[in-house]
Formats: sequence, structure tokens, C-alpha cells
Amino acid sequence: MITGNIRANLWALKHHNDIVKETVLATLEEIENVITNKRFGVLRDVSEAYVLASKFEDLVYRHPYFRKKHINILSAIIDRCGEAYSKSNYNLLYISENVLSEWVNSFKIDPAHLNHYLDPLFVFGILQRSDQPNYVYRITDEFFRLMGPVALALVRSTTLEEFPQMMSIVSGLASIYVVGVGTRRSVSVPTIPRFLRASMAYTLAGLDGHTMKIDSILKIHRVNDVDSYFVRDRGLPVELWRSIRTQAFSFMVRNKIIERGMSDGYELSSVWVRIHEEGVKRYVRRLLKYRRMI
Amino acid sequence: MSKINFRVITRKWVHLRRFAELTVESALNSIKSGYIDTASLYSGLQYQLPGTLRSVEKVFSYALIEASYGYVNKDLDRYKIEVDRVPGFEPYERNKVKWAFESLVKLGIADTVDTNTIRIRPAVIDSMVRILAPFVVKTGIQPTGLTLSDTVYPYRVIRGISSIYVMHRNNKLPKCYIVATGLVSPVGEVDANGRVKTKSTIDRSEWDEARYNMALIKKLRTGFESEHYLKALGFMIENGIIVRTYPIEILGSFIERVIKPAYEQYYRIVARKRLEGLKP
Repeated sequence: MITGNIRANLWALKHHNDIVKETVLATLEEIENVITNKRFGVLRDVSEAYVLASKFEDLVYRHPYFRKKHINILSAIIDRCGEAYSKSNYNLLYISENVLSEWVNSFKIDPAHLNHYLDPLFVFGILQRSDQPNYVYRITDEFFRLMGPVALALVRSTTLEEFPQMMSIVSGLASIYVVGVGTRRSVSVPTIPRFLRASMAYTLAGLDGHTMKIDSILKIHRVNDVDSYFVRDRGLPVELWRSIRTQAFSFMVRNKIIERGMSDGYELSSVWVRIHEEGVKRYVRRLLKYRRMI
Repeated sequence: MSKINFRVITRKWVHLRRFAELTVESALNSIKSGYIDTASLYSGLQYQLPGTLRSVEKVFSYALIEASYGYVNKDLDRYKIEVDRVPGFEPYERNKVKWAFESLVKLGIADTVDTNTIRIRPAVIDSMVRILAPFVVKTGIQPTGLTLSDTVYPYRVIRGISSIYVMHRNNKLPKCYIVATGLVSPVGEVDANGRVKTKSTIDRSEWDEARYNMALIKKLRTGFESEHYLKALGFMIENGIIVRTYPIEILGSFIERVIKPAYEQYYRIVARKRLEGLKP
């Protein structure tokens, strides 16, 4: 973490699409490493992984692929994960015909269109075909391993202080899983929402080329530089950028990515900054590898 | 050399006290090197200081703001403070202001000019006001009395600076601050090679262990739960040091500017004492 009078890093802005992808992949990978394998890299603690996940809270509810009824089904799946984890009953991960018909009835889904609502769950690796003959689908192991320990809070009673935060972690984990797996499988539709990309671009603009560290204070002139880059150099329509910018800032404030305001800028969360540094590192490593191949 | 972590620090009063002192020093250093915003984390701490008048903070904050304007406008008269001009006091409270003047003189912050006037020392202007002045002018703070706006951001910085400076000069620390540093100390550790590692969250078990260790210290034992621990929590939550309560997330700049340098200093002191053959 460094601070100084760095102007916006144009290299990072120019390549921000690729770096954002790498960052999202790095985030998912690091969180999975810590929670499921207990391997510590950038994140030094399990609680740090949860904090990082909670920075992505509510992203899935605004995802272009997930609408109201998709979310209904997804929430039912998350609750199922919690119950399966608390009872250590892994049969609950399997979904039978009965459950499907129950979904159809209770969420008022037209049976002919059920596949339309289940598709995103397959694309983003939450459901898969069952390996047991009397069940239709099952919840994937990757999703269960991430979600189980946290969704436990839905089933078992926790303290009043923990519970709301647990829920934000649940929503954050689901969000980063959906966005990350979409990027990993390179789904044809854009999976990273524009406001997330913009807020990551604001962070990446603080990159110092020599030390490969990111300035943790989002200064006002850096914000202005990023704005003028996108509007003037990239030629985005002004009104579009205004809307994206507002969404990005409200996202950052609500999820405590911006921790506090100061006289000349905003302070960004250190875990958020660190994972971006990791994303840049991965991107550079990939570039060098590609160059060597040529 | 063996590791230094929160278990070493929170078990004994001597270690805890030394660590807390080092955090104050490193906060002061970071302010002197230009990161003024560190000060806003310390606002309101002066009220907890033992043996310090409550009016000192008001008077010193006023003096700092006046001196900043004086520094920018090259007006030496504004370094002087008269009893009647200090806002936020009723006319019958002039004695309080005078007592505050006395303690400022005792702390070595100001010199007496005559019975009703003091002047800020050149050393303070060199070290503090020089850095503070651009900030004061930019944010346009005016030296008013205690109002609602004193709780908002730019005023908190001034109040924080006065707290840190008085704590540093006085060489006294409130117990709630000492407990607070002990509670935050699990975010960092020094490994065997002398490298400081930090993380941004505290595990619940580590927090509980630090709290338990401190509750056993003789000096803190009386009224630990009801007084020191509660005040420490209030101090940390009010100043935004705790960002999120589950998992406990600590503000990044507090770790980077206060805890990390303090651990480095602590390691240096222990290593030096080992070399000299003293008991660390």
C-alpha cells in the first residue's frame, strides 16, 4: 500500500478489460483456495476471504443473466446447501423430480419454460446432471464447498451481530462465484457488469508502474483522469458514463470498498487493493509468457 | 530471534504499554511525514487522559487553527492567544482557559507572554503547524466554539492532532487506548527474520485471546470489562477503526501507518536489548 501523487496509469486503463478479468479470476481462485484447501496466498486468513467476498454483495441480483425467478431458485439452492452442511447429509444436494415440480408450483413457472430458468445455473456451474439414477440434478461440489460453511447461518442460530454480516457474505460468495465462473468458462454474453468494471478501473488507475503497487487512496484527480479517459479517449457517450459512474460509486460505498472519505479523496479497502495487485501481476505474467511463445 | 506477535504483547503490562507508546509515536511520525488523515482516528481520546483538563483540547485546537492561518498569512500576532478571544467559553469560565494555558506551558507547547496571553513555541510551529496549515486553509476550517460540526471530518483531524500531541508530550496514555492497541495487535506479527506481516482482519479466537490476556494483567484487572474494554470499543467504533464487526475488519490505513511501524520499532528495541545482553 503506497500513497503519492500518481496520475492515472494509462497502461492499466488501456488494458483494463483484461486486467479486470484476471482480477475476477484471481479473486475466485484465492477465495476457493483459502476456504476449501486452506492454502494461503494473497489472503492470509479465512476471515479475510469472507471480507473479500462480502465486497461483492448484491452483485448477483443485478446480474443481466439472473432475473427474479432465477434468484428464487438460486436462494432455494443456497438454503439447501446450508442444511446439507449442517446435517452432513449429502443426499440433500441431489434434486429430484418432486423438487422440480415444487419449484414450478411455488415460483409460478410455466413447466414448458423451466429449462429457461435452469439454464443459467448450468452455465455458471451451480447445477450439474445427477450421477444417481433416481435424481435429476445435483449441486456442484465447488459451489457447495464455498457456500456450505457460510449458509450454515441460515439453519443454525448465530448471534444477532453475526447474522446480517453472514447474509452479506452469502450473497457476496454467490455473486463472485457466478461472475468468476462465467469469466472462467468464457460465456459468450458479458458476465462482468459494467459498473463493477468501472469501479475496478478506478482502482487500477492508481497502479504505480515501478513498484507494481496500487495507491490505496482514490484521489479526486484520479477520478477525473479516469472519467476523461473513458469519455474523451474511448469515446463513450457522456450520459452512459454518468450512469455507470454513479452505479459504480454507490456500489463501492454500499459494500464498504470505500472505507472513509478524506479531504482529497476516498480510502479504499486494503484487501480490495491487494487482490487487484495480484490481478495485475497475473496479467503481466501471462503477457510475458505469451511474448516468449512468439 | 523468536517471533513477536500479539501473544507476546498482550500478556505483560510492560510490553503492552511500550507497544501502545510506539503506536502513538508512529502515528505522530506519519502525520509529520504528511499523512494528516491518520490524526482523525485519534479524535476524542484526550477526554480519557488522566490528569488532563478537558478545556485543553478546545484551547489547543483553537490555537492550532489560529497558528495555521498565521503561518500562511505570515502574521506573527496570530501565534499569540489571549484569554478573551478563545471561543466556546462563557465569560465566567475564564479561569478554565487560564488553567488550560498553564498546562500547555507545562507540556512545552507554548510560552507565557503575560498573565492573559501565551504564544505557541517555534518548535511546535516547525513540526506541526507547517504541515497542518495547507490542510486548514484548503478545508476552510474556522476557529469556532464547540458545535455540531466539530464531529465532522476536518475538525476531527485537528482534535486528533491535539490528542496525539498532548499524549506524546505528557507521556501518559489512557488505559482504554492501551487496551485498544492490544485488541488490534493480532493484525500484525514479526517473523523470525524480522519481517513484519500484516493482515486486515482479526479472527474471533484471536480477539478473545487478546482480550482474555489483557483482563489478567494486574493493572487492568479492576473494571476491565465494564470500563477499559467498553471505552476501547467505543473509541474504535466512533473513529471508524473497526470497519466491519464480523469478521472483524480493521481500517487499512490504521494498520499501515500505526500498527506496522510500531511492530518494526518494537522488533528493533527487542533486538537491541538482546545484543546488549539486557533482559528484553
